[in-house]
Amino acid sequence: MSIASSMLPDIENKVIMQDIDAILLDDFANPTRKELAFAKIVDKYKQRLYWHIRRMVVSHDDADDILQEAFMKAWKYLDHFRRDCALYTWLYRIATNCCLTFLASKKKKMQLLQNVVEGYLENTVKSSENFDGNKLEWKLQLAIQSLPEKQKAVFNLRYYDEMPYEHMSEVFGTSVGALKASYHHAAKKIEEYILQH
Amino acid sequence: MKNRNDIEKINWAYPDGYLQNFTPQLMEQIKAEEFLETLPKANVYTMPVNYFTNWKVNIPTQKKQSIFSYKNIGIAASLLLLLAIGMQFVNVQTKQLNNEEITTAIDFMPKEEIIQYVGNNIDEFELEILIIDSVNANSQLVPTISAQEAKEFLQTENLEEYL
Repeated sequence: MSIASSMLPDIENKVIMQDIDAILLDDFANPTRKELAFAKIVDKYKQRLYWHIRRMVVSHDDADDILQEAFMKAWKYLDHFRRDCALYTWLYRIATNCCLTFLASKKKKMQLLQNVVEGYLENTVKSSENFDGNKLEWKLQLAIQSLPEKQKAVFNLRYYDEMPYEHMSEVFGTSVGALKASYHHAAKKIEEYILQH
Repeated sequence: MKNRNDIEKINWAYPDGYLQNFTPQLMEQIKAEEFLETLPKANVYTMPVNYFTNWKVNIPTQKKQSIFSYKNIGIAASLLLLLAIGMQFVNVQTKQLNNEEITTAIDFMPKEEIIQYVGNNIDEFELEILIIDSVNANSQLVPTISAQEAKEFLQTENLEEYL
């Protein structure tokens, strides 16, 4: 199925994907097929969500925890999903909110322990395996981690996931115009950061 | 009817400095995005090998609710107990009401009405009233004979003899 679908034009590919999601959602509503349908949804989206989360929190262990949490929430609330947006934007919304909650919580804990909050994620990037500060891709990551959390999420979704602004609007509940402005500001900050470091 | 010149003179509101700043801002955005395109998009983070091979979501197991669960049995037992107590309470109240019904009614009736009624029906009530009056007047007096025996005794022949 995946090989055949990749040969089709993008629009048809997207339509097929949405049809598959609709079938999976129908199966999820059936008590006898619920678990199997959910397993298929997880298999379909786990990689994409993992990398989105990973780029937000940097640490693999944290990303693993958040990915579990995001899918647990999906399991719990999928019955109430109104299908007013695509399934994948709904899942991204959950994952993004889990990340933002995690980062806010981490920040509070660090402030309570009087640890240095600023630069925490940048330090985590620097402690990553194979980190090389001279390479542009690592500088880009450091620049991204210096952005405010929500702006970082907007940037990552647009830059790495190439998500259309209309879908991002469903993820963040923000207007397309505001998202475009946020992305452009992020791009400008990243350029300044890389040129200065 | 307005002509083209008149329409162009209409002043639509817009933020101060918007048009002056528009071009430089646009050029900055274009420059930043072109810069981004020059950067490698390679994924720098590594994932543990075979991470997703056995990865599963820890879905909480759903406990199938049975009618005969301890919880449901407890609720049913409590309801039955409450019902039984309630029924008992109602029955006791009813019995008491039955037994007290007449005396309660009489207690609340004016004495004059009772006397008048008895007077009109003296034949029926005579002996019972005499006995009750004597008992009430002197609580130590306890009738040792039944009302029927008293009635038989106080029939005219015996009454005359008694008097």
